[in-house]
Amino acid sequence: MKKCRMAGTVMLAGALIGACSLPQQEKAGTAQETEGPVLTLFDKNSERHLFNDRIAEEIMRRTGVRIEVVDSTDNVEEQEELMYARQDYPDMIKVDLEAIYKYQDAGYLQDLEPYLEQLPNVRQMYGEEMLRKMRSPEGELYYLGNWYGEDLDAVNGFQIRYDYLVSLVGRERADSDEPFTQEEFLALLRAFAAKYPEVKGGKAIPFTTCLEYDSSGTLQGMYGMKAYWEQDGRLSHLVRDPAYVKMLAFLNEMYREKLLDKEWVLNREQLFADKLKSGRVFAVACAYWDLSDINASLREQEGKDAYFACYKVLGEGITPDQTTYGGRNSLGWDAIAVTDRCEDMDAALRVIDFLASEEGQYLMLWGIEGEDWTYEDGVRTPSDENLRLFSADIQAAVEKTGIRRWIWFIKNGTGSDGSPYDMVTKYRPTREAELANRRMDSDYWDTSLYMELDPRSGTEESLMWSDIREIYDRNFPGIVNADSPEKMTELYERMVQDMERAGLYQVEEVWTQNYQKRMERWEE
Amino acid sequence: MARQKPARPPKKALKKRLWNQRYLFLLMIPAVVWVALICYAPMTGLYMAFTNYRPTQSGYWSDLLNAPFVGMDWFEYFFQNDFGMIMRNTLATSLLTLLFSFPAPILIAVFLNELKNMKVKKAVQTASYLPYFISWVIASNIFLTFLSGSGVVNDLLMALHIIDEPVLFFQNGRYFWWIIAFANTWKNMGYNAIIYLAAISGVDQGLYEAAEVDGANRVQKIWHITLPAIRGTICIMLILAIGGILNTGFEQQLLMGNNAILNYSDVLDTYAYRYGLTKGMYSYGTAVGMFKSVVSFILVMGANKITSKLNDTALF
Repeated sequence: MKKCRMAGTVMLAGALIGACSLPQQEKAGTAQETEGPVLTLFDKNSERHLFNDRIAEEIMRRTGVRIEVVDSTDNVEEQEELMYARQDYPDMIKVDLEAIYKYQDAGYLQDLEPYLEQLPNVRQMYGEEMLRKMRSPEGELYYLGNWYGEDLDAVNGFQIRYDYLVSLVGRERADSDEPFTQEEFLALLRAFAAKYPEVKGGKAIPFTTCLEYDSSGTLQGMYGMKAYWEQDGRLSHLVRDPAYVKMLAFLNEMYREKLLDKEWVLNREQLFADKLKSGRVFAVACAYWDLSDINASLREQEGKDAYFACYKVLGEGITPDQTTYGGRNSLGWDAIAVTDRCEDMDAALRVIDFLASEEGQYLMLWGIEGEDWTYEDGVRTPSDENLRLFSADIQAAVEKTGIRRWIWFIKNGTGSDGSPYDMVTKYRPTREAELANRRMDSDYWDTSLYMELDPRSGTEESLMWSDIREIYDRNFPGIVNADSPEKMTELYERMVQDMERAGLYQVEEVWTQNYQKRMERWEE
Repeated sequence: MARQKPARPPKKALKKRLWNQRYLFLLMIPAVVWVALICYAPMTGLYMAFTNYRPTQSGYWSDLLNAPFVGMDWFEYFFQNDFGMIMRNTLATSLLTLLFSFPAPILIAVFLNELKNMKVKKAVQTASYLPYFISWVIASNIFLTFLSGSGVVNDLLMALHIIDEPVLFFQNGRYFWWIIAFANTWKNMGYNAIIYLAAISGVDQGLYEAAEVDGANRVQKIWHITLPAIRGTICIMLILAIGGILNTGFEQQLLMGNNAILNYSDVLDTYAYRYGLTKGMYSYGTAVGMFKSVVSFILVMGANKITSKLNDTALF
């Protein structure tokens, strides 16, 4: 009996150990299936997916390199910080440019300049001009941009519920590309609040924002502001721009008139989406693509006109050609770099050069030739099935096909046959994209001029800049939510004084010096 | 009566005792290794608080040991800048939490002990433990939803005509302290009650029977038997609570706080995290964390000393 019990315990323990280790065994088996080198990679956009879909398999087959994407966790920014702090980063990283500069400063990245001979596709696709801008002042090439090159398509704007707008101003005005003035926009919000005090039993919200989306890009763009207030080559913080005060007054006016969502400071992605899907919201400030899922849901529930369309609103005293809604970085939204942990540089170069090539671009963004697209009259044409899938629900289509899941070294524009690299958004743009691109066609400006100007970490100025940002973050909501215009002005002035006390002048001096050096280098 | 100093055991006897207990020491090894590796070895990183640490490719130890020594500069920087505000928020939240969460489990345990209906007792017990097993992510969302402008609480207050406009609970810093105190209490009281229930179960039933014979009612039995019997446990829990007074929370502040009330929601842990990790000021973050640890240590020692003087009950 005792022996039986003992045997039972041992078997149970064995089964438990076996069950616990099963996934690892499977993983090891998968890694061993493909011979050749293995590269590890951190991708901030991987959304915890393994590199094992059909596109990923094809990339590995063509490069002969096994790629393992490390878990980005649910908190990508924190994971990236921890990798940096613990010096526990993989062979390659795809992160924001700000993080790239931090890794670069610490000496964690490999210079790709000596390897350019082995990267013919990189040289051809990026071009010397683009590579020159990506190089450090000392001439090293530490990263390659992702989504690089000029793209004139729209970014930010005021997204207004089309069906509500039609009910307020008529279809003709709602379909017009003519911008709204600030006063017209405020009148629209008031009219909406009066006509729809409640929607589906909940209080209607004329205007709101989301903390995770770039509402400041819209609000600053409305007044023609850019990353800094620039005067005679000198850069200052935006709070010094007279247009910035007008922007604050606009937000405060909306708040006081209860046109701005009282809980705008709490709106994280899920809460924001819930509010919009409930049909209670009339207008928001963000990029049109932030709302693609929400628009799909609204159309399904309330009909084809129930969607958010992009409109331009002109700040007080601003003409349509002065707005700056379309800030894009021609060096890329983010970047990919090879770290000093990479021991097989040949494998890394093989992957980089393939993915940067036209062949690699179309594989990632269009799929596999013959299965996802074919040549028709010498021009790449996506399959009807894929077009249907992507026009119905982009996220679901990405999950199903693997197309556009892995987006590395992506170039804006069109390939040699004239078809756009980004099939999903450019081949057959959605109605929302079409409207946004048409209405914001004069708003593009290149943000790359203003990147990486902050004081270097470890300096006294970088400490000052941390404090200044802290002061700004703490005070901004209070200024917008002030009870009166006088109170708003008082709080604003106090914030600027606090920022100056914390060393704003010194930081602005660093920005200006860095900016001037950059301009000199780029103009050489 | 003066205490007599115990006689020192002879060396030989000590050796013999150690040898006799060799298996116990053997069993203790994993725990000692764990404590050394997990609790003490990372403390070497506290040196970072006295340097201007910046990671480079030279590796952690080289960066740490070669970082410029700045002495107490980071501590001074903290005291000159945000110390007042951060300490006010930490202490306000902690003291409010202590006010509610310390007596709450005692009351629950005493009331549960008095319940005679086993089904009701088990149901109440389970319901009160449940929040402890819910993660702060979910718990925070429950509070955010209930207390939002269109949440249940505001709806109820408006339906009862107590307020005309929804109260923006998460945009007023002073409400935030109370919300955190309430949330901490709600989440932990059931679980902490287990300790008191265990202590109560050890009380001699003869005392209750004797009290009944003497004509004591229920309240008198609680007051004169139950509470004195668990006094030692209450003291230990108080020492631990005081020691953890600066551990006022982290996830809850991070998840329920926002920029509008950052001046009220920012506590030592969230502040150290924000500066240390999100802003990359590792040395400063370490200094703030170290300050917290030192103060917590002093508080534990102080509370231990006081309770040992008052009650003859102490942790060590």
